[in-house]
Amino acid sequence: MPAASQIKALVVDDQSSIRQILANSLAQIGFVNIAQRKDGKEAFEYLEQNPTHLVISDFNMPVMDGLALLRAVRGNPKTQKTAFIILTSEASRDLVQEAVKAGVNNFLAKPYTVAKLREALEKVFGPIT
Amino acid sequence: MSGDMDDILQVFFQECEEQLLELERGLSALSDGDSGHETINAVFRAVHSIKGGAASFGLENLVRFAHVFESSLDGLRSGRIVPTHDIIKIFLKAMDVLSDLVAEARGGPSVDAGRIAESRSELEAVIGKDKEETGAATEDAAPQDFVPVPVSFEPVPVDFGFDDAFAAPAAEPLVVTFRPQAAMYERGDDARNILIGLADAAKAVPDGEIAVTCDTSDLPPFDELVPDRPYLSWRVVLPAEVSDESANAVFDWVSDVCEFTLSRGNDPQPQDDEAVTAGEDGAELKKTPEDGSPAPVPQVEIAAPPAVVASPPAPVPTAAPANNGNARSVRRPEQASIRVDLHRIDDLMDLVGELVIAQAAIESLCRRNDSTAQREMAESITSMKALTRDIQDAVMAVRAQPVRSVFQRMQRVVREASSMTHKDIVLTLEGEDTEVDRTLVEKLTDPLTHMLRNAVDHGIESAEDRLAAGKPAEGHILLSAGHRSGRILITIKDDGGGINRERVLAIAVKRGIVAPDAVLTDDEINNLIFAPGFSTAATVSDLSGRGVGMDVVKQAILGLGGRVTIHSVEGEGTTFCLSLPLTLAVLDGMLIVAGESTMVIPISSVVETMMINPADIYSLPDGSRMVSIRGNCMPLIPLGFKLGLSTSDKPSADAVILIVENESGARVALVVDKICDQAQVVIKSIEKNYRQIPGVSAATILGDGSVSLILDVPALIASAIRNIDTRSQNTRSGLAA
Repeated sequence: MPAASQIKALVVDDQSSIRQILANSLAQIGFVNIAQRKDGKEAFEYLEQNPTHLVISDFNMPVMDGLALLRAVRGNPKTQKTAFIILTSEASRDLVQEAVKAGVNNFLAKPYTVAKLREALEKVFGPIT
Repeated sequence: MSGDMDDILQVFFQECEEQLLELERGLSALSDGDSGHETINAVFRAVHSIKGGAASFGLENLVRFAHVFESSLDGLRSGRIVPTHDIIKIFLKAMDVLSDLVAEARGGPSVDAGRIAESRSELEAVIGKDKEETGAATEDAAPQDFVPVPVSFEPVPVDFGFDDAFAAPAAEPLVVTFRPQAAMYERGDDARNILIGLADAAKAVPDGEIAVTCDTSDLPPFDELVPDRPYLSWRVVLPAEVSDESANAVFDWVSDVCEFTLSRGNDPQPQDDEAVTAGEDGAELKKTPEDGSPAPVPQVEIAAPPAVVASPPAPVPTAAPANNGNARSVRRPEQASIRVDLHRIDDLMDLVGELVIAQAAIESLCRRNDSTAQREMAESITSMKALTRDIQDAVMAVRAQPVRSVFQRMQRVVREASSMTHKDIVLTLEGEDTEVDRTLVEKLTDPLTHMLRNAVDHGIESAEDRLAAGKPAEGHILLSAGHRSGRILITIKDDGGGINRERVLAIAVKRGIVAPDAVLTDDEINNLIFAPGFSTAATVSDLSGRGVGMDVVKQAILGLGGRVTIHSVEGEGTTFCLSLPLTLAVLDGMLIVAGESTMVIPISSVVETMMINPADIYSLPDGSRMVSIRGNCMPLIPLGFKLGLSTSDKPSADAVILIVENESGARVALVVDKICDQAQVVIKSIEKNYRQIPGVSAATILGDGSVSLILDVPALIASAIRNIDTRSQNTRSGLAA
């Protein structure tokens, strides 16, 4: 039963407005440590250097997409245990299955409410205080 | 996190604009035959992003349309739909609707429901072909059968269940080493600032003390010391709670001129860069001082709170860094762009403007007397002037924006106009990267829109006429931008029928714009299309019948300090050239005195200056005067008298003539008392502070603090010509063209 303030999170989306909304929502739940990156490549560089418990990432991003990021995260011993939630708004079955195969922890459908976000997080982390 | 919803919404709209540009670029690449994966993906992503963002803000209309659009693009992405000419056309139309929906969400006019529905059903038809075959699900949810994968999470981060490396850093102090390069000092940066920055980063956490060690081992003996060379490096230990990011941020400004590393660990050994990068090879340290040459220990004073230890030459750490797995050289990612609130830059621009004025003030003070000290002062002010000019240019560069955004919008203008007139027209863009002041970019949209509509409507002939004239049925318009001698030049070139001068003249006579018996040059006839109330459209079409004529375009361009010229060859096409200043904030002006007032005339409109020769002046029966210069006659305007500043219209013997020209080449000779100076003046709107004055375009503040008027040369010329026209209808000889 972790406290939200203990979870270090990284939000990855190419749109800064989406990132900010997500960060705001996380802050509402009680997150303190929220980093933001705009594509998979930058995110992975960040993850390699900064231990992070949770990644919430978009699917479709330039340079390196969410699926590639997930695979990179799972492929590196330093980051492989990071919880990974993918934002979906165009979840084609293929992509979702790929993500499941690659070891995604959960999905969050866009648009979401703070309650839905919390629900998605708690499915992964257990009750968050 | 910061920012309330409204701010984020604004960011979202900005992103939408970018995405729409991206979409436009992608679709036009598609129609050029580039159906590469990246292009298609970029197109899809643009619409997808707009939809995703819109959904988060509850912009229902936008979401619904974007969703359909996205689905059809998804078919394209998966290869189920082939981007034929017709399908791209549908996408382009959808893009226009999408763009309007974004504008609507932003508070713009609401979009016609019929248009949305039409585009929507076109898109659905595209998907329809696709869906029947595959039945692909594009539902907005994770699959029903997916079970979230939980991770174990214990309260204490260390016990999170991740391996040690993951949790360790929280307990380990952050060790920062840095070594400035010569370039850093040359740039005026100071290691002291870095230390202060690190100390501040430490202060942000409880008990935030830092320990600093200065490595002086590279210092040569005193007599070999070159003061501006970098010899020192530092090692700073920060509390464990300080994040890498905040330490990194300290080096933001110097990352290119200062080597630095960040590592976690309690390694007591002061390590320098070489030690870190040499790594496991255990490469020898170049910095080991030679035996028996004690390096001088400098006094290092730092304003930062921590204790500073100027250490003796570092003992050789024997391959120390190998024990420290996460030591690394840090390179800051380069940031390609930042968003800055325009108001801030405007403020900066205002300040630079004030600086220019203050500098001019000092300069004029210095010139008043000629003692040695003042001369020297004047010299140093000259170098300050160069500096201010540089700052000014730099600020303007910040404000500069490529014309691309406006140019790309013109694709849509042409697309709509050509479909309305049933013409097939290709618009080619050139020089979209040309940068101009942001305000100018915005103000160009309307005139360009109108000129392009005009080119489609009146410039390009119908397909039948074109074929009959031996031209390809498809019309071409070229819109290009470029820099030309400190101004920006925009050309709109069509390969249409050219201006039918006979018809133009006939219409102008019919409308009473020119006298029936006036003799006009080709250029003058071309320029008639800019006359108020002129329209050559035989039938007032949907496009041109919007109540604005080319005269409005011309006024808009003039308002921006620009000029329009026309070049037209019958049967081959018409070219409009817009010449515009790079900025609307400063102007190169000539300071003149007329009737005891100092005024500014834009240098761009001054053709030449000369002393007055009474023998060249001819009086007309009505009392006005003409001056003959190298055989060309032009109206002579005594400026002081004309503006009511002096009572006599008779030029004094030592008066100066300024020949000024408007954009169509009409010239008049202004008589002024003297020319004082040539200077850059900061334009201050007079309309905003007072009201519009005919003949005056703006005001400025001179070096001596006085307010001076900037003359509106085209208006002066127009009024001079009007006077002549009304007094003697047929005397147009003064208008040398």
